[in-house]
Amino acid sequence: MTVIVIRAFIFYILLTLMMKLMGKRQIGEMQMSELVTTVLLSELAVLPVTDTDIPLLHGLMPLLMISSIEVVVSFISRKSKKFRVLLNGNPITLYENGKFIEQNLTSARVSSEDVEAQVRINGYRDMKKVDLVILERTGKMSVIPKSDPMPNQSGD
Amino acid sequence: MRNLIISCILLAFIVGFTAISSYNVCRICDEMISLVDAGEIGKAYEIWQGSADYISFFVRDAEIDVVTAEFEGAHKSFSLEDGEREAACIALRDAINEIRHFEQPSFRSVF
Repeated sequence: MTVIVIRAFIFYILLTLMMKLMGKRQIGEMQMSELVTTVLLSELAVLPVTDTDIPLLHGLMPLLMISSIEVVVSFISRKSKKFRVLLNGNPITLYENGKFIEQNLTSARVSSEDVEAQVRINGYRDMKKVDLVILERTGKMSVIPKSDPMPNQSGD
Repeated sequence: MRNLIISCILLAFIVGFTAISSYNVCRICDEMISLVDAGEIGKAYEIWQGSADYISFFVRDAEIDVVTAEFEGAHKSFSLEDGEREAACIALRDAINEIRHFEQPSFRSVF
């Protein structure tokens, strides 16, 4: 039991340091590669902590390696637009000029109802007031209104 | 930029450390296998005793235990008939080879 506690402590320290190295971002703001890295890191840390039969290095080395690769990859993607597009894709326009763009909805695997829901979340009653809906690289939808720059808040 | 430099240093360290440790484990295993083949189980066991702790940094405990058990089996078999002794040595050789295959990068070990 003591071994598990010590291992958990080591991995906590290491994961915190690695997350700091990768930068501060919330899950909703993560790029695809960052999300993959975060999921992988958490999985990698669990096994050697609970299974003492596994050498500590089997957890430590992949953990260090994946987070280091992530930093290098994010540096390259910041410098090269081609690489950035290859890794994280481009923003996709889902709604424009009063019409849903079916081809883009299919490729993004998003339904028109999802878009409408996101529009309502942003404070617009219906699609008539919306000029453009764009699915950003982070997975969030940007809703751009037609003329009114500020979204209608609830109650008016 | 500082994070990038730290990451590059870490990557270089990981690659270097992994390569050196894998090479060392393979070298120890090769040495033990050649001693077992030559029938010098005692010398091979001495090497094993000296390096088991080091190897346990890289290999699962279960595999370490198997090799230790096979060494004991091979040691006991010296009072037995030739056939049984040979079988015990083959089992010991296989157990050491298992660790070697795990550490040596190959198509089989990767996939």
